[in-house]
Amino acid sequence: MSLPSHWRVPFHSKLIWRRWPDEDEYVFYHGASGDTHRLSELAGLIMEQALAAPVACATLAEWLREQGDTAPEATLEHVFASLIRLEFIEPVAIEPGNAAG
Amino acid sequence: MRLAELSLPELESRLTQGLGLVTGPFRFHLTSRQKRVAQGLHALYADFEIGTFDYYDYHVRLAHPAGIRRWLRPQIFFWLDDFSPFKPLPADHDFAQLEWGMNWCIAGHAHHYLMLHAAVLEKNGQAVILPGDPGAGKSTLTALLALSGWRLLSDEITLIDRDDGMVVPLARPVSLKNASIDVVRNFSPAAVIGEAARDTHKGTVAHLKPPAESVARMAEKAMPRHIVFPRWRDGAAARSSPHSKADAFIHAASHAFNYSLLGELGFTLTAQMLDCCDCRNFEYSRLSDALEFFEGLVA
Repeated sequence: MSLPSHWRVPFHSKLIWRRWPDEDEYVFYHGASGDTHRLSELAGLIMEQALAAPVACATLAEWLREQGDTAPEATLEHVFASLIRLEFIEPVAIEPGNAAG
Repeated sequence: MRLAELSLPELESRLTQGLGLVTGPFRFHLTSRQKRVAQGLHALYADFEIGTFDYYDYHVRLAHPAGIRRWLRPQIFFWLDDFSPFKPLPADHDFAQLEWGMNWCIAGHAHHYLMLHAAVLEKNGQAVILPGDPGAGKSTLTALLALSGWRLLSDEITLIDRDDGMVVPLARPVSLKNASIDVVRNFSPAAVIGEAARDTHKGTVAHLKPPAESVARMAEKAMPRHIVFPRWRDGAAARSSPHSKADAFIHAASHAFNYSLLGELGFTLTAQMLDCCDCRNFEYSRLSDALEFFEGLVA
């Protein structure tokens, strides 16, 4: 399965989060559902970026590769599947020349 | 006026008309004709403020049902205003029913606080929150610490002030169950423990009188500094290890009485609490080890 190239936080989502020093997990509050979730370090990092601007899969995959991940696409598929299920992110069409990352 | 200033007959008489009782930030108006309830209050709430007030947070009463169950295997109902939230219990569980009912009133209505399902005590200005799962020995530990000079803030409901994130005291009798009743009695033979209610849905239940100083300092809030997940295990050597804040957050939120109801504020208050606290697991079997560990935390 190939992932859409760019992802963003849906406009209706009100997400706030916390990560404490020396801990590798995040806690996110999803205002739209009222639910609270614990996220892995990678999922949390992706969300941190997505909250600032749409994230590009290619950039993330490259970064994972630099971290030593030999199958970054599979890793991202897995993480994005979880984030989609939580309605934390959605694909976004980026105009050529306007792509983040 | 303190409840101890009433004789038992005076208290029984006042209770038939309605007695105003202050517990932390809440004012209860209690009505009961049950002798055991008067005896329980007289023994365990002696240091609490009573009186007639302009308003009450909760009007509660204990009363027998109409009909044959008033006399044959008598039962007792707990009422909040005109609503009875529980099935009737055997009449000899009336004081325990009152305690559970008072907890229910607060947990179900006091949403101007974040309410965590946890015990909390204070020493040296540092509040220590004990979430603990059922069976972890939380109440026993709470009782022992309260009997060892710690200020009891609550044994069941940790109230967090939404304005400043501090713990609001709600010192009430500590609910002891089954073997922990004798553990506490052996630890402190002078401890005042009320009459046991047997064969309740929690087994045998008895309540420990809160220390007078904890009651006297009920208006004094405390800053949360530690969250300890205690675990009593037979024969275990005392062992403490870090507990992740993310996990502590999820535990606190999922065991809170009103986290979801408060929405974003619930998240913010819980996160702020964890910002201020260190979180640890603590496993033990010997009480002396537990006391030493907790003293060390707040030294």
